[in-house]
Amino acid sequence: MEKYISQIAALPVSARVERLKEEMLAEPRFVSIEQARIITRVYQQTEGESPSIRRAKALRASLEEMSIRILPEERIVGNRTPGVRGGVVFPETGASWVDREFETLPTRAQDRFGVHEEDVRAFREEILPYWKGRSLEDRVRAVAGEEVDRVAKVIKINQKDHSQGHICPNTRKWLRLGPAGLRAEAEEHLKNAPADQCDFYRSIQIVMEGAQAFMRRYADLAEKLYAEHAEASLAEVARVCRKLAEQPPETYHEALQATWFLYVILQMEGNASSFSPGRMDQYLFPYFERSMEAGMTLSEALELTECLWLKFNQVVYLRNSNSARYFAGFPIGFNVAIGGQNADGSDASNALSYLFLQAQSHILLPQPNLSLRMYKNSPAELLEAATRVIAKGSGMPQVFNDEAVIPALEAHGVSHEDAMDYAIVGCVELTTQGNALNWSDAAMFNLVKALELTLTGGVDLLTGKVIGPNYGDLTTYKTYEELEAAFARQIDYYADKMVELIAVMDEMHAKCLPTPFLSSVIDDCMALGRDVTLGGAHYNFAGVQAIQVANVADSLAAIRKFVYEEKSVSAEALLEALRSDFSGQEALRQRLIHKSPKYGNDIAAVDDIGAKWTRYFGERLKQYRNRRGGLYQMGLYTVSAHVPMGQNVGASADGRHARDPLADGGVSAMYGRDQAGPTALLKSVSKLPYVMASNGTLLNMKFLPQFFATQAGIDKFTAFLRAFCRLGISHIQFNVLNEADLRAAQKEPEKYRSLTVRVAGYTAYFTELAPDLQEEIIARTSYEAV
Amino acid sequence: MNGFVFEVKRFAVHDGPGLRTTLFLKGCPLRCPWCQNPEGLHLEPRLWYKEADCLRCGNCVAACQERALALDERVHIDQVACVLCKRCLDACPTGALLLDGREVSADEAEETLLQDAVFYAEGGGITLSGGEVMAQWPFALELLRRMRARGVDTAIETCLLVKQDVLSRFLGLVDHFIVDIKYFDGAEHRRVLGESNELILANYRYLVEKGADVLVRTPLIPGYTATEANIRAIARFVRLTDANARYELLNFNPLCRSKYAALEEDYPVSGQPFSAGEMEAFYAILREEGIANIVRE
Repeated sequence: MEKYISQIAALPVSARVERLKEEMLAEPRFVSIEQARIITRVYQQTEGESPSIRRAKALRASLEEMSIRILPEERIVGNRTPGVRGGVVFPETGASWVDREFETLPTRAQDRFGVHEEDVRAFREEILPYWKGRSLEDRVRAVAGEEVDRVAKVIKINQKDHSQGHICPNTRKWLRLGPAGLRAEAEEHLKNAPADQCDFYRSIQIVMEGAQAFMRRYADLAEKLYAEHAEASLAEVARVCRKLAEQPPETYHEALQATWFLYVILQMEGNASSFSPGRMDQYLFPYFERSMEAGMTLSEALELTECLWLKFNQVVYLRNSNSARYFAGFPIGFNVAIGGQNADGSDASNALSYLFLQAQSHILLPQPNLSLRMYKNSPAELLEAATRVIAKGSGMPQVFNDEAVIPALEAHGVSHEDAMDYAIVGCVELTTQGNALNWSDAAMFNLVKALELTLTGGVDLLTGKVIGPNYGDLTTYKTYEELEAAFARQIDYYADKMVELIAVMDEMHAKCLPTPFLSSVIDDCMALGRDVTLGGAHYNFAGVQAIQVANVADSLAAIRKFVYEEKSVSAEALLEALRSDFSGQEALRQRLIHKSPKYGNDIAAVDDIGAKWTRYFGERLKQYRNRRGGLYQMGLYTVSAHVPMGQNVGASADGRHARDPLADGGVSAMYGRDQAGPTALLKSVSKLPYVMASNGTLLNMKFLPQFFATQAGIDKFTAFLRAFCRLGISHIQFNVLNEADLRAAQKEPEKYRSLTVRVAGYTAYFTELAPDLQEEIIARTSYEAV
Repeated sequence: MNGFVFEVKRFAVHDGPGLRTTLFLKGCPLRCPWCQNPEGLHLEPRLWYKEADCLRCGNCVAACQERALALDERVHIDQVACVLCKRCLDACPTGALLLDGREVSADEAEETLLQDAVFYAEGGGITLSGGEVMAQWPFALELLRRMRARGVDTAIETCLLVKQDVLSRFLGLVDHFIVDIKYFDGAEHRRVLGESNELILANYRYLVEKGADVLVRTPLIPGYTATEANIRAIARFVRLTDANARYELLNFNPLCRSKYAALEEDYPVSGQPFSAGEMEAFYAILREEGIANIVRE
């Protein structure tokens, strides 16, 4: 093992990988309607058949017909569009928004895509008319559109126009059985299945036929190219693909290719935000070991790994313009977890953990979203290797803390063994592997807006209109405790509304979007004969994000101090200042900022407010069950949603101007307000109830590169990580950059095309972020260690 | 027991091993022209001004009953007229006016030093700095005793200008001595800093003889300490005193100019930090003089 570590750290990037990377980055991305045409045609041909059979046939046809491409030098092949990073129009889930926004896709502020004019015409003539009233988006709108809009400033309900993602499938099972084995398993079940389960098993049979055909097509294409190019690796690609259509993988190369096929096909079925490979260093290790024994070199293993790393960057996700602001940078969340523990508590890291870190340090692109699981006895060598990769500034690996995550999962009914084997999906969402539908992004709950309505008696500060219930306002609460009681009622009111609406989404997904392929790799669907959308998974959670602890804590601390304790500002004056967005009240605004304690500085009086309301929200969620019978889980993260969610909130008592972004990340301090340094921030953040936040949390920190310039700096950084672990915080990620980098990147984007930056939770290309997000990143507190 | 403190720096990464909290004590017997912490020179607190945070609202001037404040394009402080009544501090909405230090009890200082205890496990701990730690040696000893009782790793940064019998009391309480030797030449030391360095050099020998863990540092100040002759002489002395000595050169850091601007004083050093190439030339001198453990962080 020790021998491996130093050898791996010395491995260079191969010229083949460099060329493939350059080629990929140079290729423009376009909207693709090819699969939309196929799906529409199959639906037209299968009118009257069951939803799961129709979806299965649509997927099989896509796998059989979609154009495919192989580059001569590729060693891992497969994509859902012939071009890289194609924006796939997926009419089953949403066609109306595409119709509304098609022309703006090349020019919108966030996540642009090129558009071929003939595609726009074809979409409107051949595809859109069929889906009017039939897509998930339209059906949701018909059932619950008005109610969703009515509460939108407080609750953002998600999953309205795309499939549910954030799922970690059972890749181990896929590697053990392959499509032929899964098909055989479904056929075996079908022999004795009750009538109402037959379609489920038949649909799995259909999609596995498609999967096998897909692999054979790649084998055929590779053979054809080999005849033209005589590139030796193409012959091997052809052999691997042909084998995988019939048999499970045996070598490391075969296992990597099989893994990638699984994720491409999942995306072709679901077009969902994030299917995550999970603990790849664990389940690929037996294949790696076998190949090493058979003579594979480490540099060959690394090249194959890096070919997969590039692939993870070729599938992106086309969102509507509003959603793209909440989840900027088209994150698709191929989250790969390394390290951590085995079920018995022994260390799980292996040579692949280090190989993946080395691949990350070479590729430095947004995907995969690489996550390190650490715990109190994580090996020093692993932390040091991870630190050296963090120092490169790709924002990865992000770090998850077993000591916080495992107890949180267990507190929500996850078995000890499953909790020890947890992985991460999407950005920072926690999951068990291969047996859960977590519905991680059911909704985002804007606590800061709920607090605003508490102060105004239900009046929206931005419009002056009544949008929520009136339980009193700041001028009628005689004590701080009365204010708190009204805040609690506002939260309860909106939490009830939210749960009703999430149930509608869950139901509509079950009706419109059964997912036979996914269900074949999620336990216990196959055994129960039940689709994952109907509750076939072993674990059935729904996740809601509480947003944003820093603004709530800072605002309430200021109100308590100035209005109720010192009485130095009257309730009327403060409310008026908030209404006018502090117009003519700059001195008051500055006092609110500077003369009241702020979350993130290790000051109990204000940190405790944050912890209290986080706990309150978590307790409230415990009262509900989702439609699939499972619990709700609280999350504390926003991805990039703190910017658009801030635009829904008027001026706040923490001195924030109307429409300004909320604090970033999830548990981070308001930018610029944490002035006692990173240790104080961690102390504040550690006071939140992580055992309740099993849906995932997010803490951003920015370091300048010089911190990592010496061995002493590396050692101090790993000491910082150890303390993070002891403090029981669930997640942390690091931006390593300086302002000059970012300013330069704004001026000359073409020179910084591969500069990546953490937009809270995942990594995006900086130059592809909207200007306000770029500014926001620059504004975040940086910890200069010199 | 109370002491005078001007700053607490958490996540200190250049004041000893691991992650540390550094407490800066006020008061100093030396008057280095390049002093990076002018707020550490005097024991008594002074009114301090952060121009960048100032709104120019004039609330402070209105609140001052001593006419010690004036406002034009910035706030001006008449330190002689100021009686430290703190009315202006309350009146300032942004905290642009503040005191450059405060009196704290040993209990309070202990609590502050232990706030980051969870970060100290990997060799980290607390560091006392200044000003000059020895200017408040009874208070420093009290804090070190308390830290020792709790098993916290301790370091002090000192210029060693202190009687040996006082220094001897620190021996059992300090895990790491970080000592400044600025000039080897005694006359130069007296001329520039106002005090002889005999005691300093003798104290360094004493610490080495006692087997203390010592890191020697020299700040490289353009126009002052940063000459080949001075660095060579210090290096030679250090090596002859301790063949295994750890020696670190601190590159000049001009960031403290903003502090002098706040005080409306001129900062007498006009140089820039030395380039990597210039630093290499200084390191070459250390190697020539046989310094085995050159510390570079």
